[in-house]
Amino acid sequence: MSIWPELKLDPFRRVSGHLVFFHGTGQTAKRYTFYNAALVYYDCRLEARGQHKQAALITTLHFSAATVEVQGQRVAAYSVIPWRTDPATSFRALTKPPDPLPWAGLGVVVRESLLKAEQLAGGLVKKVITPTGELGTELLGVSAEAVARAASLTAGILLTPANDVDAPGYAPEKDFNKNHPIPLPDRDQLRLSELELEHERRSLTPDEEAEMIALLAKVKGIHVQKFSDLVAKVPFGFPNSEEFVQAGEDLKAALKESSLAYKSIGVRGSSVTGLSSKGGSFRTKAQNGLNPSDVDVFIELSDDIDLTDSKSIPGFIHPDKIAKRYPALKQWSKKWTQKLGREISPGVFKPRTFTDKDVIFFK
Amino acid sequence: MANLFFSLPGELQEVTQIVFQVLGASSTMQRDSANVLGGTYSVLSVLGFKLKLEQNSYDYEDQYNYMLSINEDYLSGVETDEDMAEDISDIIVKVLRKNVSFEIAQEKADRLVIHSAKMDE
Repeated sequence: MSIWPELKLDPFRRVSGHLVFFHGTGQTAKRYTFYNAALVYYDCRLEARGQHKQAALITTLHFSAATVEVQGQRVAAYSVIPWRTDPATSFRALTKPPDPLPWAGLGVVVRESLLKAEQLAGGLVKKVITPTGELGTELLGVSAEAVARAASLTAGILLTPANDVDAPGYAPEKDFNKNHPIPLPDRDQLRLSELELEHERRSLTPDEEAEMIALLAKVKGIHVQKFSDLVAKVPFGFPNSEEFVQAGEDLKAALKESSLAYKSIGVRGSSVTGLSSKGGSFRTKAQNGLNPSDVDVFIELSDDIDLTDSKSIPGFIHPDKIAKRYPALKQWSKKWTQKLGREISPGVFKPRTFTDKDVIFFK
Repeated sequence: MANLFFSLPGELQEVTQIVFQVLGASSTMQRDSANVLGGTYSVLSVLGFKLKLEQNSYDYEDQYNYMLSINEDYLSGVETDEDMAEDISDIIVKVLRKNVSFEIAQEKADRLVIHSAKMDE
């Protein structure tokens, strides 16, 4: 709904419309309908350092609705404001045309009024006659805009009434709902995004894999025969994707045995970026007296545990502390260190403290 | 596994030289890991154990800025156990107390034993 042109024409105009909330899968979650909402607050603020370090102009509008309807439950505020509509027609606001046509003679009246306002602003006259009669005799302190607004108000009174569905002359082509269709999200795209996110975090079921293959073709035009054809990222330090997947499965089993609930697990650091913090690239084997690079695993918990975290790295629980408390995780580290021929240990992060972006998740 | 803590000024490389030299290591190795504070640690493999010196992100960080951990070296192929790790830790404490002038803290069964610098033997 574009209310700006309407408010520009008439700041006292009331508007009606829908707010529709969707589930991620596309179904409507909640429908909020408001009737005869008046603009009661307007604020415009410049933030010199807004998002992305760019200045932002923030406009805040508060509307006060005479009636709201949520999931079929209607609540009406019986306002005493003088422009309240006739109760018989107030709930048909959505079927009314959004822009009643002005009276044909209005243009002349407004032009005359604006001319007098300009003269007033220029100090030419001290008495102003509006289309509704004499407004005052000493109006030099009133701006031209104020007088113009008075004219606009007068024009508003002269507007023709609604396209009421029960009224004679009802024009279906001007129906509010037809003219203001609610845009529906692309459900396939939404579902594909959801599956892609899940695919990043866990193994998909065979049904989900088949669905994702179909949606990839439909939405993105990517055609694969089987799911494994989708390129799987394998961190440095693992000989192949099978070993990486197996390490993830073993880690999941160790976490289950340890009764640790996690949000995500994966690999971070140089085995993802390929760059060593000591300079050079990830060492896949011993070079120049240096051991093969370590593989750093992370576990982002979903539930907190009673081990204290590091003060220097908030949320981080040192691998030694984890190995002491959870033998299954220590065993996992031993098994995979020996298998890969390089150190691999899990650093655990308390809920909502893991911020690394260069990661490869165990699926 | 056993952990020792120190508070020493200087970068990891300098602290590595001080500590590992006392332990008789002619050469040590620096490695990098995202799971240690500062991204780098020094390591020495001996008797089936891995002595790992790193900036302390384990615990007691207000008092001690470095940690030396004694863990089984999974790549050595030498069979060890937890008691042996404690024994090695005790030996390291003894050697350090004879040769350095800084305080050493030793974690034993979730409590911290403080070994003051140059105490009577």
